Amino acid sequence: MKTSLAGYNILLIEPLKFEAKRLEKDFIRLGANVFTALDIVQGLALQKRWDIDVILCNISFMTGLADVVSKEAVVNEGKGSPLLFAFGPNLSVHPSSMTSRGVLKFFSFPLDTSLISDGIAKFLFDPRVHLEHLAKDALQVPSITFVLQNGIKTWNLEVHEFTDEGLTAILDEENYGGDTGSMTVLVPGNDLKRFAVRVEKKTDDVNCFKLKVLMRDRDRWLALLSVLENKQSEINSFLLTSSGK
Amino acid sequence: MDKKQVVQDYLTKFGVLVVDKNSSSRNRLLKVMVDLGTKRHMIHTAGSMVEAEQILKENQIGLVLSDYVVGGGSGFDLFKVVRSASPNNKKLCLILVTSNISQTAVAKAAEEDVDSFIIKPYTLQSIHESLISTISAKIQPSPYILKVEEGKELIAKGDYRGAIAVFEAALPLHQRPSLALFYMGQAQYMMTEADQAKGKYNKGLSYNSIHFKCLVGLYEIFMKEKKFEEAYQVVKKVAKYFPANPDRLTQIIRLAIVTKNYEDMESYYDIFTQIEERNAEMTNYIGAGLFVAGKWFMNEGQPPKALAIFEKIAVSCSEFSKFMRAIITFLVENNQTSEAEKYISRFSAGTLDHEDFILSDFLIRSSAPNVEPAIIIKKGMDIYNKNIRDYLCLKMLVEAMQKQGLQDKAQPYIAEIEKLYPDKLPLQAVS
Repeated sequence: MKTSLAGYNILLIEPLKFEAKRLEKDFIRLGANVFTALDIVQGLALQKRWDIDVILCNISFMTGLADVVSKEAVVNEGKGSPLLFAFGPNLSVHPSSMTSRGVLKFFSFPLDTSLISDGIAKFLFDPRVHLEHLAKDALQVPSITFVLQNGIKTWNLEVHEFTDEGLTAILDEENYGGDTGSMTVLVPGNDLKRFAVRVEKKTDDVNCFKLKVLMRDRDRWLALLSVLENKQSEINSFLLTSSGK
Repeated sequence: MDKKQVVQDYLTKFGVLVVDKNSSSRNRLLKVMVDLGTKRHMIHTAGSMVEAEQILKENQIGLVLSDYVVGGGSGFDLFKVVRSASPNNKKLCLILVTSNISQTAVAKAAEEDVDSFIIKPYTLQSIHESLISTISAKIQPSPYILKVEEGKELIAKGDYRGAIAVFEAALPLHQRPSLALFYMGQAQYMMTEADQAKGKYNKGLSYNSIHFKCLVGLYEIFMKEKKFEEAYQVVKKVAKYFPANPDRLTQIIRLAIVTKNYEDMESYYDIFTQIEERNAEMTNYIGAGLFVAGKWFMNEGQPPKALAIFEKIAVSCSEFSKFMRAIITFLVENNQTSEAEKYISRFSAGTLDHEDFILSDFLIRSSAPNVEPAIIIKKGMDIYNKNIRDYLCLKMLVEAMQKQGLQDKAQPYIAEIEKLYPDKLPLQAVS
């Protein structure tokens, strides 16, 4: 058995379930611990939760992923950042545009896991170039982002409304499968914040859920609201001043 | 009449258009508008530009709430369509409701004269307050704004003197009347009174140093007058507060080079990394600007600074192999071959047959210590026979021939150097 990836945590981001399963099996056979995500949000949540060494991502999800990973690499000064690899149809991308996003290597279809494994293994021992890329070509994450996890699954939340207790959001799911969870909030320009939440289904809307922040995290939640309130005031004042109305 | 009532009355005459690619977000905003007293049948929702455009054709819209990104375009693209659909509706209210709070998005909103920028998610109270204050200010403008609008209409009719008189009357109506001063400057500029116009823009900026219109007005006059240093100082400020516009960034880079403000180039690189929609032209410009700055730092005796700048080019502009070649050539010329070597790995796989890579590879290999002149001659001749011409490459070839005692063989290449690169080193220096 080839064990070039033994002990490494690999995050695989691939939207097609059957393909993801196939790759997952192959990588496990090569000794890796594999975490599979079907989209970028799940992928990022898994990356936050586990100490991921390598991210192997379908090209169609690269933009968002590279942005977040790059951002992180800057915050952490490159320490502990995963190595980034992409795959997809041949000629779907110019190799240099991948490099500038911190991608070490692009693998084209059809995917051969042993070739990928060899390709990745080379870099596992020399992450310098990768980290350098990440740190220097850092992009900003422009949007406020919410992720909910319940230990089994991860959701990207479409949030409309805040209250002092929490928020109302849409989950791509009719049943949450539990009543508590961990919600991660990323406000651009600020650190990631994580809150313990109670999840209640709203009866008047099929996929609408109320996420109530638990009391122990309530002060931090209010602090977050106040950060956003200040940001809103800043924006209002900038618009007013720059237009002179 | 209270503000809420004013808004409700307005929205009985004009429809509301809510545009968001996410249906639940649309529904939420729809409910917010109903809570504010808008009749359900006056609210239209769309998930894309195409749907929105169709609604605009069939309805008279007075308020648009749009996300930053909508299917088929941006909220700003949509606002342009809305404005052109209702050119005479001065009360038209355009509001961005988005979770994108980057400086780029906010600056773009300011440039595009968006009426309000509401951060999503919102609290019900905050969105109600925000909508009421924005819409009521738009439909019940202050006496100052009314005067400015009156003056603008006179400008449109070509009555510049009349417009200036109206703007004069607007000045005492506002504590910081930068907008009136800007339009006064516009009217004077139309009458080819550029100096007076500049005076008005500057006065506007004295009240409000980030007034976008005054800054841009001043910049445009300086550019027309070819006063590049002054134009650069103005546009530098514009870039700081309004970094969204890619065209402007390329202009700034060009001006920074023309005015020899190389030290500022890194700050433009920072802006570049934050722009979401980078295109090849912009990448080309920033690469060129950084390269010139890097050379300048090297010549100023600051190699670490120069190398740090070259690193930025290698990371962000490696899609243009010409930059890798230029850096390698420059470093080899400056006897920094070991530094130059680092850049050879930046060429992407698809460019290995390209002239830029072939030459860069030759320059590095040929500058290594203890390389046999015969090897340099062989490789140099290979390149020459591929019809690739490069000063440094030819120079190395000639030097290697001379080391081997092949003076006669070197002569045609020396002649070619003199012909192709007359401004380079004199022949004596080569030989």
